[in-house]
Amino acid sequence: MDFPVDKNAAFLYAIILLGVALPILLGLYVSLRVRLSKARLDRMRKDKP
Amino acid sequence: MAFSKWASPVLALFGVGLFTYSLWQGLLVVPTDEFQGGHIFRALFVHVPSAWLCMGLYVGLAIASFVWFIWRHELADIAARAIAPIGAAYTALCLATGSIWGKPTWGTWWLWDDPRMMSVLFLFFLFLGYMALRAALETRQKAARAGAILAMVGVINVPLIRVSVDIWASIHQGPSVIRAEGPAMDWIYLQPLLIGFLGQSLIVAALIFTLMRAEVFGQQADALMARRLAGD
Repeated sequence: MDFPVDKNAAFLYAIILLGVALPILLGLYVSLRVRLSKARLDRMRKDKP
Repeated sequence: MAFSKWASPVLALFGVGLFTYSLWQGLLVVPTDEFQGGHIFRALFVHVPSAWLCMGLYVGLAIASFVWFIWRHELADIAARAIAPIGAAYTALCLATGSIWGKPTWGTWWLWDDPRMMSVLFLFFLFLGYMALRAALETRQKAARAGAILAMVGVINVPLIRVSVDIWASIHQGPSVIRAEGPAMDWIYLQPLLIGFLGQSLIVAALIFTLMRAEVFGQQADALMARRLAGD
């Protein structure tokens, strides 16, 4: 099994790279969002007036 | 909340496994299709699922908006808020991968008069417009109502994307999977494509559930803040 290489390989691998990178970046974004939101809520519950 | 906490990692794990299998099959196993321009046709294992997902996500956004609009179900509004950024990201992926695929296949990155490209670009602006509109309004209720109306009206674009290549002259190829006469694609390509689509759908579901948790935490914190400001 060899990786496909022809004159359009750069286009193909750019598309594959984007397809793999997007779920990873979105995964980082949503995990950061949920952590920050949870931390804010916990902080507010702790700091009772 | 408890459901999404354990469901998200499970869905993501299965999704990554299926997507990896699809890419392995698409890149290394399935035979080359010289009729489709050589190896570049393998881009379909990324581009096609992203196209199906961005349309599906907009339909999901419209359904969630409809449910909120009619029954004022708070979870539906939270789901709509979570779907919008993921939908925008997958629409951007569809546009970017389609453009990159277009250059070696059609000799151009973009055509401003192509109905398929323009209708997907319009979908991208609908997602962005939905988020911008919500962000611009001062109360959650006003934002939810205006956003829901935009999402429901904009859903007309989804069937237009589907039929755009049939009713208008387009450089884009016609449908090859969802057709009345059955798929035009050979099973050897169709099987990894459908598995990849399922995998990406599970990943997207995991992302949406996680974002919904973030929205619920944010809403609880806002409610707490409002109660304190009211001196409760």
